[in-house]
Amino acid sequence: MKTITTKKLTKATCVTLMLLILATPALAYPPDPDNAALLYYQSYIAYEKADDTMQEMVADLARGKIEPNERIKKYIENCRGAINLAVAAAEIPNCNWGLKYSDGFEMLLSHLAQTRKLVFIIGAETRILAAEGNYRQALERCLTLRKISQHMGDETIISLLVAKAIEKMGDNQIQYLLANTPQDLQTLTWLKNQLVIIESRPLSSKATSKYERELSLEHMHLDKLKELIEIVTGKPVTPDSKEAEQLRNVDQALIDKNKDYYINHMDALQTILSTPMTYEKAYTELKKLNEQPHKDLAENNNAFLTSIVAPAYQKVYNIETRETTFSNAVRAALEIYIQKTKTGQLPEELPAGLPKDLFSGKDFKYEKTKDGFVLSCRSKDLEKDETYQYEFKVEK
Amino acid sequence: MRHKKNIEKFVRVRKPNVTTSRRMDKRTLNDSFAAMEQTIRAKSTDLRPSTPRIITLSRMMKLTAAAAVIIVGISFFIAHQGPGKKGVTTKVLEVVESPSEIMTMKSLTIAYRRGGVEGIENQCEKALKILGPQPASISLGDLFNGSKS
Repeated sequence: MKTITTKKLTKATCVTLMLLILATPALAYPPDPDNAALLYYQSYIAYEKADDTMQEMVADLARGKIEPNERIKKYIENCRGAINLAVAAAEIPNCNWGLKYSDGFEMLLSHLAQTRKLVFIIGAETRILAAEGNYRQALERCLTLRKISQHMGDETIISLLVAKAIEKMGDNQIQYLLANTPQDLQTLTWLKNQLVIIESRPLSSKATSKYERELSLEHMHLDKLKELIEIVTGKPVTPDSKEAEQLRNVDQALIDKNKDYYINHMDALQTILSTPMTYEKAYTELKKLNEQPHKDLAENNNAFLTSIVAPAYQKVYNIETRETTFSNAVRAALEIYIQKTKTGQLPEELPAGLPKDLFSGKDFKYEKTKDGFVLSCRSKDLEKDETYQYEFKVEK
Repeated sequence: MRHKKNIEKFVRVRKPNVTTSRRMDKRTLNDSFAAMEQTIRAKSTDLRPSTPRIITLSRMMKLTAAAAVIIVGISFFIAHQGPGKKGVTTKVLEVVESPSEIMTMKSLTIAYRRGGVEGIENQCEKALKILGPQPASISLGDLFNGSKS
């Protein structure tokens, strides 16, 4: 009995020692970054310089305008290090770009341009992977694009708009792949679950209004007013201009009254964005709010700064609604592809409980076509005066 | 002089009624030492600054210190604020031309207000053409060869 116990103890000790020996080199490495931005920044300095023709070809391939060719493939292969870093970065939940918000309007956002470039490279690689039959990896790249979009953040209107553009590219790639990928239930279910996780942290125009408000209020002082006017009008205030003449008649008391008007305006904006309402009502309210300072200006000088500074939020809200509706259409379509894979044929009606068309707040209109199916919005985009239809092809 | 005559008269006419003794000598000596010490103390007091002089000196020191602080303050302001403000004025006018400014919040806001999302995209394109980094692919070997030359 004693001998058996001793043998067991010896074995356990040996196993523990072996594990310790094997684990030691791993423990010796410093930890990987827990901030995605650090990897993205490395990625920006790791891709190969491309001439104008190559840049154009990469963008066209990413948009599906051209087919992959050997030159692009070679270029994308030379960007492998940058792509790997971006893919690793996208998997890290935390992303702090280290932006110097205290610089106000002077804050540099150079990462947006670099990310846009990187996104085209990843988009082009997705098409190459699909063309080579690596569908699963191609879908993984689509998810990488969606995760990069999330990392852009919604602290400023600019970053939100860039995020939405990347989100659109990711959804376009998924739409293309769903039409061309052999239907595999396991892969489709995995994709559906992954998209649910990503969509659980939506970016919102509501968040951007806080920073915009602070930034503008900081500039509503006599000594900063000239700069503020130059930013919103996009041209310098020359000494003999009308703006310069107006500025000479402004005093701090008038600015303070303008400030109060602006605060009330932004409070009203925040209320509209925070209150659940239909797209049509929210868009109309935001448009009305945006027009109000221009109307008030005829009789109220206090509305002047708000009329030039307050962004047209109905436009930002519209872009947000449009891109989120497209994402919802892709997720709804995914469910239809799953049904098709399970039953062998497209459903006759749209399954219940799918993501909705945000323009109408209702389910998408579902129609089977010769090549697959179409999901249509039931209300139109009031900014563009257009009703969207999303076409999804099905492999015969 | 008058003081000396009085003493002589006093000695001549009215003989001082003093009996000399060892005790008297010691008392005279002690009194002399006391007088001498008092004289020395009085002299050293004369050399010390007077109260008005102390006040004047103190005021001068304060004024010198205040002047030094003002000079340092002005120098600091000129060094840090002066050129910075000039820079801001120039930046606004060169907002589109300056490569380092092309991707600021200001430039992008102007681009958005002028051209919407497409305006931002064009600005990004422009920035990439000017800014880089995008190095051509470089291997470890190239790095070592580069360092040798």
